[in-house]
Amino acid sequence: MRSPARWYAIATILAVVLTLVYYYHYTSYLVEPPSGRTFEGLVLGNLGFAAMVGALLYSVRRRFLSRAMNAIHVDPDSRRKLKESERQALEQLQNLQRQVMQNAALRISAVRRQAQRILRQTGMKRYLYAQVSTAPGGRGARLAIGRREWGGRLQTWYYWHLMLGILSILLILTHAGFRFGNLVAVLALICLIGVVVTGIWGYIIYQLVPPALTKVEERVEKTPEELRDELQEVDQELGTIIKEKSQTFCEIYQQEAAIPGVSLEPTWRWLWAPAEIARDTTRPDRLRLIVKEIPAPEQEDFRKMVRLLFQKEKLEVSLYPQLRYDYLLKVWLSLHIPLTAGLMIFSLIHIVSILHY
Amino acid sequence: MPFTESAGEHRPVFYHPKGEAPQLVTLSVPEKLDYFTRLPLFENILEALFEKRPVVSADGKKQIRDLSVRDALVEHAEFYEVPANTAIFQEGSFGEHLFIILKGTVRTSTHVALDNERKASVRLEDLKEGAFFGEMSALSMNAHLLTAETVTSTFLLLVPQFIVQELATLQEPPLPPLPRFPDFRGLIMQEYVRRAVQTLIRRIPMLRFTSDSDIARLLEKVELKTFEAGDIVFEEGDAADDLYVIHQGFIKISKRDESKQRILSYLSEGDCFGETGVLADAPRSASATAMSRTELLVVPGPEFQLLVNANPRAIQESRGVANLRRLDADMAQDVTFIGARLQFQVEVMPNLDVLAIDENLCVRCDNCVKACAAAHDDGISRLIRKGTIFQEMLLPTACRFCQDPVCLLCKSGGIKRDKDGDIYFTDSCIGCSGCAQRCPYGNIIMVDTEELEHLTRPTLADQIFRFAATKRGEEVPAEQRPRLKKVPVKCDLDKGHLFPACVNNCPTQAIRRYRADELDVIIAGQRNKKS
Repeated sequence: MRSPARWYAIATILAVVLTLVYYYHYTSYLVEPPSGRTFEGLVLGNLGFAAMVGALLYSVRRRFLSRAMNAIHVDPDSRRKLKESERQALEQLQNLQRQVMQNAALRISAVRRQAQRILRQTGMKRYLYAQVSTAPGGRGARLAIGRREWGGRLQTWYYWHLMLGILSILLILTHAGFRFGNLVAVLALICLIGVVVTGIWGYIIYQLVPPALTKVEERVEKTPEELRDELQEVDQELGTIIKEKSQTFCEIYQQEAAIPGVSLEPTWRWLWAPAEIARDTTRPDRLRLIVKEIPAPEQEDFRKMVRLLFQKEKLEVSLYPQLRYDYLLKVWLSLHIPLTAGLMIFSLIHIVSILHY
Repeated sequence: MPFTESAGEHRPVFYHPKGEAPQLVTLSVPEKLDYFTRLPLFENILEALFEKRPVVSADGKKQIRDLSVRDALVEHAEFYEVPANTAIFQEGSFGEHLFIILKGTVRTSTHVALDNERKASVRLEDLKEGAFFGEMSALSMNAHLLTAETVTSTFLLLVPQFIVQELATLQEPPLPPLPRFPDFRGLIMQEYVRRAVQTLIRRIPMLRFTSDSDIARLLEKVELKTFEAGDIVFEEGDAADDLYVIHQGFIKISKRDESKQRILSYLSEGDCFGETGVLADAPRSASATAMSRTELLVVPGPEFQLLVNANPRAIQESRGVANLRRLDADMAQDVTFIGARLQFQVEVMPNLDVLAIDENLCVRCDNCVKACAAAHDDGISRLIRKGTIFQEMLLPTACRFCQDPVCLLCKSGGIKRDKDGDIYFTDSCIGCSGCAQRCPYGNIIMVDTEELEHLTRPTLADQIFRFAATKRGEEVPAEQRPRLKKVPVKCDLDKGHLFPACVNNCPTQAIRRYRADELDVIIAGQRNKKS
């Protein structure tokens, strides 16, 4: 992953600092460790919960793709007027930008006032930003213009999600003083551990699977949808061929169609299944012997069936690794998300019960 | 053929090592006619109609005057006195004249490529009084396959290309098309084919030691074959029967590498191919495909083999050529990136800005596609996560804002480029899908407006309480729906935003916009890491 080293550095430093603080304060001085009842425990618990909620906000941001917030829900005529106002505002702001670049003596406050005036007069305060700062080198001002974004880049949210997730488990464990409380608290903790473990699993999957999947896609050169369409056509042709054939013919077909014997429907077994399936190299010899058992009028169709079976096998062998890798990229979410839901529910019950009692 | 007034401007560029220039000789009309009538090429056609020309008489009246071949020649043909050892034209240059020798001797020669760097000169023939040359370029408008040089001081008649082409042209149907001047055309074409075959044969490296008599015997057995664009001349693994020399067009030589074809080289006029299979009596080691309408000289393998075996120097050279070809093929298997890099440079470098997905970072969540759909009112994603892959970089369907956008060729003004270089659709679009067909990358998508949901974007409340919402937004009134059956959509770079929606909503930052040269460097780095 192209994650800046600073994220790892910040996370490591925070973890080390927390551990040192905890060790120094509670262990070396033999002071009573925190629990939900102590002030420190409450503070750590609140921080831990805040970290969990912060981590959860990533999925809110991801779901409500930024445009949902700053989309212009207007009719075409109003939209046209807004676009015209935007054009005017941008023109004036760009003129101001040019002046700022040419005149280092302009004061930041004056530029800021003028930029805000332009935005107010054109009615673009909600849609555009005009950020004034000190120019590099400390001389004069710098004016940055653009459309308002909602939420920032998803990658930034993702890294915060990872860090807050790991931080939350540290905080909650220290909040409880590495002791178990009542049933609800234990369930919440189990869910939290499950969320973090599945999250780490997902992170590792995101590191390992894309390069492997890229190699498979380079080799196969067809998308899974195209392969599935071809497979469907082959199955239809096979269905036509085996109609009204002798029992021997149909039995052989049933036997051969079951190879390579891997279902192309996602299943938990794919988690430990091999990455690729091998072709059956004994099939040509086997079928050469079998063809003698086929009645003479059906020999021609048998040969067609054999060609189609080879084609089917080739398609399945090509399709399987792509499907499996796609599945691996997504399967961890089927645990991570329900556990998150469970964590929030049990945490809220735990908090309410603490406050109430 | 239009009558060009400025034929005198298209003078040939003679070259003399000591700078001696040829002299343009001015002759009177009778003197000119005297030469024309003595030439077999113009026998019986001088008085024939060349063209009808509109003229304005002294009293201002417009008339149509018949211009004969004689008149055209008198007006436009030129006479030159050329010193000895002057190159009249060089191999590879383009000519616009037919040259006729009235006095003197002209030697023709060609070059044969021994390998990538060395060439050897091969003498073809010495032409004497009455012979003509340069017809290949004058007729076909291709580059000269040979060099013509004066051996002695020579008196030449130059006939402009437009006259030659007009005289050699075929009449309109009724079928079959007939030549207007059959004798002229016959003489020209006969010499055209003979000289083309002779020159091309001589350009086969191993036959440059062969005697003229043996060449003449071979010439009787060769034939000129035409292939259309895409036609396969031979495939890898086929039996090697003949060898080929390209007279016109381009041939692609490629080799199979698992499921892909690796291009070994592109061959053009004068190049020969297929000789290694013939000499080694082995199946074809590569495939040859016509890239355009191509004329090939087909040389029968057994005859060629006989000639080569008759000459020890030719045998030695044939081994060297075969080794070179084999080396090319082996290199193509090991060093496959070179061709791919050239392909990338040809396909991508003309673009200003390219959206690329690093496949090793992409987790296939399709968030970029959903973000693109969410960023546009019609809910259609301009981004499809499919496209060409260079090393590990996928170039999906997203407008590349090309330097030369052929999509702008729109009669109705439906697609334009603004001052910032961005390409956008206007209200004048009639939905003809011409731009979509013209885009070489398939980045313009035609959307059936009937299939659009015709819904406004849902509000935030709808989104939060998604599972409880019974319908998304309200239906757009009919008068506000698109008026066309199909509308084009394409990436608009999410103009004005800090980042495009796709880039902004990728959790692993796998998708980004790159400058083409930036991407070139990244892909080169990926290739080096692999090797």
